[in-house]
Amino acid sequence: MKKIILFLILFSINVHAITYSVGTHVPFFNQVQTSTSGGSQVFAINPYLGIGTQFHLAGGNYFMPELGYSYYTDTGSNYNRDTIFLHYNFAYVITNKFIARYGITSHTYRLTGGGGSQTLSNGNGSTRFPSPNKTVSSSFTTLNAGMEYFLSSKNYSIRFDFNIMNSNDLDNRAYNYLLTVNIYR
Amino acid sequence: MKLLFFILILFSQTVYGFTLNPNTGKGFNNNEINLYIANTDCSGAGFTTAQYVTLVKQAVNKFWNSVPTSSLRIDVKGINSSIDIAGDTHSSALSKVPANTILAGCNTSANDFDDPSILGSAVMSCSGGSCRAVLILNAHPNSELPNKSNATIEAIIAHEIGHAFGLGHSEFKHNLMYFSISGKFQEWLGQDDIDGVTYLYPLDSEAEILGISALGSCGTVATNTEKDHDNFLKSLFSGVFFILLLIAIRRSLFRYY
Repeated sequence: MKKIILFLILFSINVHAITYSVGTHVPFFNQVQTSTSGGSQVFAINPYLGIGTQFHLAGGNYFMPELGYSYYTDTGSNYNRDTIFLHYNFAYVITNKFIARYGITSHTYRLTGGGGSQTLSNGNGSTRFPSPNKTVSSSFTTLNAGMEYFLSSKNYSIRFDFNIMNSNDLDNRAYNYLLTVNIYR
Repeated sequence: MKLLFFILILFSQTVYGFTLNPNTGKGFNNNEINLYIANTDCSGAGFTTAQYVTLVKQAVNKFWNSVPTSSLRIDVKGINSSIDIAGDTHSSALSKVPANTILAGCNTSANDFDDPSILGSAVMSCSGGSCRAVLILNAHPNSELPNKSNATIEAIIAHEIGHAFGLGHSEFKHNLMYFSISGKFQEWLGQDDIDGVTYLYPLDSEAEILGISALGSCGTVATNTEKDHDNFLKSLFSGVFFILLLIAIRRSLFRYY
């Protein structure tokens, strides 16, 4: 019954453009150590590609689902990591140039090991440590909030989406963000 | 040429690579691990057994229990006075550890810590479907631990706990699992550490509708099976299906062009 209602809603509302997004995804904002002095990551270039669409709901409100993929470039030779995103965002048109975005995103964070081993220092000697040798994925959901700014051509925009991980756990909360350029067709 | 140079700069970031415990090559079979402090004398390390409990709790909460992509939860149970590892070697201490448990203690033996710069060590073992591990800090009179700050001792304990649940060393100094704490301040986990604990203990929120699961990253116990790959494909295909559905609806019902 819920699915029938969902489909009725989908079929009864207006659909607008398809959106193509290109940008970078920064995971664990300000919570990953990047230097020996305790400095943390605030920006990284991890290519992000997305395709989505938009439904006009009512007034200045839109539903803007998007499928995204990000590949992380700061990964070592013994494994790769990437993420598939399913964004279920809503948007509210604030002005002709700005829209506010909010919703949830389902993330599938994947680690793919290449196997083998590495010889590393072990205090007073060295040891051969096995490297990851299989594919493991970790799935989680985030709350999102963001802004989108439309350039002079209405077909192009710049978007900033902030994802809140562990949203129900104040002590262990973490953040990702997505910075993209979007093309509406 | 300029474009090529720019691309090379963009992609020439630091590389990372976590490794696994050389004894087991794997983690515990479940993501909730009990940790007990043994009946042990840590005075040579500069703290009491009760203070050791506090340090272990802080180390666990600051580092390993706060990784948002991992389901690992280490439950520090406190002192287990029935387990006495005074004078034990690593292997004899390990034989006293219950299944699915990490035991933390101290040792004054010069045989285990002949080099005072070795601040701690950990040994993990898995057999018969269960794992156990012991981590021992250097409480020998020559130990350098009493000269370290509490923040550094927490990082040392967290490093040894990393070995105890299945991680090996990292090649890069800013990661917690780098072999030495010397010359660095460990405020956060590095990317290697996060990926290592995620690899061993992933979150596995069951997809319900089109990949949407419960809010707040609620996870269930994850096992390292082909299911991980299935979940990734499930998310991919449900996403593709969802987008194709929307595009199909748009093109078939709302012919704008």
